[in-house]
Amino acid sequence: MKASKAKSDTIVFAVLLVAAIFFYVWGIPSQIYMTATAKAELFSPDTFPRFATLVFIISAGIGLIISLYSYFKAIKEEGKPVREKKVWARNDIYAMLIPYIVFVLCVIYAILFRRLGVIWATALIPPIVLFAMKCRKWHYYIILYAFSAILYVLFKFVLLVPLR
Amino acid sequence: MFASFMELFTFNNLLMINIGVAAGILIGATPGLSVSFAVTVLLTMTYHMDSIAAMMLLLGAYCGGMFGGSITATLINTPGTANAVCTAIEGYPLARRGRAGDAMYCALVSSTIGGLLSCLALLFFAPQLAKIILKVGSPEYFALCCFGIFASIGLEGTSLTNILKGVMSAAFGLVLACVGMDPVFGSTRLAFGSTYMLSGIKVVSSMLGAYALCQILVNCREVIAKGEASLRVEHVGKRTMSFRQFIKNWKVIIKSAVIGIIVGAVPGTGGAEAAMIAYNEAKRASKHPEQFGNGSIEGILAAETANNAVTGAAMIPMLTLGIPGDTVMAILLSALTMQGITPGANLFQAGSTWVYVIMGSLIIIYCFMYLQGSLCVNLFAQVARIPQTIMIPCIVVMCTFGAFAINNNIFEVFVMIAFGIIGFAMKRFGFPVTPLCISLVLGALFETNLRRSLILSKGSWFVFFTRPISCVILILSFFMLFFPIITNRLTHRKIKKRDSTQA
Repeated sequence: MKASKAKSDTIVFAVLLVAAIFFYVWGIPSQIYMTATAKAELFSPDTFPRFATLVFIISAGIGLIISLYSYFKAIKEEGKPVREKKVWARNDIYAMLIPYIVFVLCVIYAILFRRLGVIWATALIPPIVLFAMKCRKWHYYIILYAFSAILYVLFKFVLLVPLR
Repeated sequence: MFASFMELFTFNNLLMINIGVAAGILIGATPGLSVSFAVTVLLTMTYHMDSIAAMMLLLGAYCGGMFGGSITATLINTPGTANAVCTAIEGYPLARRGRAGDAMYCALVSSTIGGLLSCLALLFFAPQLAKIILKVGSPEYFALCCFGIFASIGLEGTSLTNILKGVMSAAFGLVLACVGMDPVFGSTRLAFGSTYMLSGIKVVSSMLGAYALCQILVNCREVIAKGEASLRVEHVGKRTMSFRQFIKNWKVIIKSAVIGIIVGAVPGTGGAEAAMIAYNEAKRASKHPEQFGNGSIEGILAAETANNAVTGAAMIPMLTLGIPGDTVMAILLSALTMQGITPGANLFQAGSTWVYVIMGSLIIIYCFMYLQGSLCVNLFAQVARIPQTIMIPCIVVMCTFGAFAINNNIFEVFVMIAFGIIGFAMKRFGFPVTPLCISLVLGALFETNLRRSLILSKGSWFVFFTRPISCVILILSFFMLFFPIITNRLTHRKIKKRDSTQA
């Protein structure tokens, strides 16, 4: 148990370390434009982002060393983690995927919000979210439409937000 | 001051207080939705409101949400918020014995008393602290920012790996705070060619994503995996205890309120920590410690008084220093800024009515919370019966509308969605979200004061250690960072020693 936790931590720290080094070497120089005057200063516009990224890199590095150490220590104590053969039921797989499905639906909702306008986007996507939640009760769909309509009226006519 | 108080008593303001309290209790009572969620969602509706009414709505939701968590904690052993964990330990056994009404009334009375005492603390201590703050320079401000960020990291982590994860989360927040224009040279930083990014990442949209949307993603997995049957709420039994019987425990109430006020005034802490400390102290000092865990009234009184006593106290650093102690304070800080009010010592000096408006409204809010709570506890409990299946798409719509309304711009909706998945990934791999949000809020203040201090000292980092106040605050910050690890190690060592002597 300890070994598998340490293994997952090691992978996470390693990936973040590589990403942060890449950001430090490539991201910051290419994304922060500096004039000659700014460059000559003690505290130039890139100093703070570099400082924060460096803190991130050092923490990820230490984290990687610690998790590697705990992994080998756990292996010594418990032996190599044996991958349990878990029988995945259909519902388990769906439960694992549902957050990503809802996330993708949110992205599509935002795109349609801009392309088609708020009414069409809201008429289409939230009911699909409800359907993805395995809801087959028709009156829930009516409640959802009523709730969305109330929110639309509240934002558009009471709070004067220019919804399209 | 009296005139400021009188400003609060308009129909609109009182209506907003009641709506805020009701919404806070309802959201707080919903398992999985936190107080920060309640305040964030309502914040989206305040952009076009009158500033006093807007703040009253948000403060009402804050205080109501703190109490609301205890409803589901008592009825279904599911704390609506982290603050109500101790309430669940004691409230649920009482509810199982048919005394849910007593448990909930007990939570309501103690929440109200704790909240009112913390308002008094805010009334007396905040102006005194503001006088001292005027003498503080940029190195001290930098040290205070460090304190806020370090405390939020320290309290989330119990092992070195957790602390490192917290530091990474905070560093990520500081990098995100750099997006936009450089405050001194006006250079574009990390905008990735987008004109929208030039104005930086808005705290509100990022928090809407990191808390509300992220919670939705977590909840939908729970609903599919475990179903909703486990969240059925029992009917609330009638209360049998009188007000006098509660007041008999005045010592527990006062002690817990003091604990809540002290813990709340420290940046980075919150109601959950205060409730836990007060609960442990009540158990230690109780004449009947055996009742704890089996439905102790003292336990509920201690936990609920302490977590509500945090509300006023947490505003002391926010109003006097402009430093948010926790996520809710960070959201309230951004709400104040959106209304054109800059928290800090000047808020107390310029004869502003704001401070007194906030203090006065907190007192009124607690009075209304008591009234609403005693009249509608049964009704509020029905919220927990709303199936999560219907809640999820409704909250998606609400978050999208809210994020759009920040700038009337779809870009904020994309920021919200991005933070939703970032928050979800962080939770999945055990990274705390609070340091990210706190450092996103404090990033600009942190950088400006670091830069100013280094320019004044001609690049010498010793400036932070040669000034006594900043040196003390920095030492305290490092102590806060490693405090949980030290206490954990000491406890482990004690247990090992005891085991070896027993063997």
